[in-house]
Amino acid sequence: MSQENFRKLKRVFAREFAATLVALALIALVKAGLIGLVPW
Amino acid sequence: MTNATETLSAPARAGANHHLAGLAVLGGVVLLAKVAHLLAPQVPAIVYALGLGMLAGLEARKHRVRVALPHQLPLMLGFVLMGAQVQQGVFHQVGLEGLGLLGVWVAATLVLFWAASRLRLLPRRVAALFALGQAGFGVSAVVAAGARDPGLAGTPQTLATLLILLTGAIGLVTYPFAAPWLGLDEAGFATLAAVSIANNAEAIATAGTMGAGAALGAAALKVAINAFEGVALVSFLRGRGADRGGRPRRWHDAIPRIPGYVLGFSLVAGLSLAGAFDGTERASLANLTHWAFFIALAGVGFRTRLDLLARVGWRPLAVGIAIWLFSAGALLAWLVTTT
Repeated sequence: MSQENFRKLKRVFAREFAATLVALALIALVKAGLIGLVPW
Repeated sequence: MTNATETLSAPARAGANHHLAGLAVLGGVVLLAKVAHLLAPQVPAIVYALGLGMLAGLEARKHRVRVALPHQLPLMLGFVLMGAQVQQGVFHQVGLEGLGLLGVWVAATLVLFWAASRLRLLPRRVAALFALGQAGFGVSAVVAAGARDPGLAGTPQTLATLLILLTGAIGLVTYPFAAPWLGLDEAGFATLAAVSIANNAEAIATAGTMGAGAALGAAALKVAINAFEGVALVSFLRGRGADRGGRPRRWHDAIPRIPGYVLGFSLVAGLSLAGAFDGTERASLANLTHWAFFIALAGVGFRTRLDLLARVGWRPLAVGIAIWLFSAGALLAWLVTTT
């Protein structure tokens, strides 16, 4: 894999990792009872 | 100097407007889809999101409006949050027979699409993406693979999304009539819907036409198959990487090859299996997952290039539907003869 492609892949990975952090933050809010039962 | 600043800032401004326009369009489509679902809840909400997104996308391209809807963050959020639904009890509920049927379905789907690509009935990339979606992982896996591998975005992703939608629609319309006529009980019907319909929402909605028990059974099977979605995606992307001769050189090169959302999913699934969530919390997280996928699929619909179909033709879809009809027919025959 070229250096350029690897850099791109790392950027994609960082974005995916950021999404995971947002999800964990949401989970923490649910656990803390700050988000009640979200209506669907 | 002023000129230079202007030429530099103009694209940046356009970029900001572009994002705002994307958010506005996404919000509009999501709102419309939610209202449509409230008015006619028989059709799963994500079908409205995808369908209305597709219509909006066609309109936008007709008028040459170029906006991209921010769908990747909600998609990945939904993926990670889905981990909270993985529980040991689910595997007990599904049982060995259910897991076995899931395994056979996945294997048969892979073999049939591989054969179709060898027989040149389908282009390789399209066959691979069809197999990933139809094995039971649905639109979320197809889009997640496309986000990682630009070679799959565009035509293959459009075709795979349409195939999943079409086969789901066929199941939703025909299964409720076929089941009583063939004498399937609730458990058999739940298995038929969950194994052969790729998207969670459509599978559970189809099973729900027979009653709450069938819907619960289908939901358990879907949770079981979703638990393997991360593994499926990593194997799929590895296979695609090997196709192009890419190989990690050092150990830390390998980390970005496992998508970040798969790591997140595994982490949350691990927490869930360790007993981190009680019933209410799990229900809350399930609803958040619903919203995340709902919003993401409106954006996916928007970028689904229906206009490409005219160029590619209906043949790949016809092949995909024929393979699905064959496998779903075989599964139905098995369920009818064993129950």
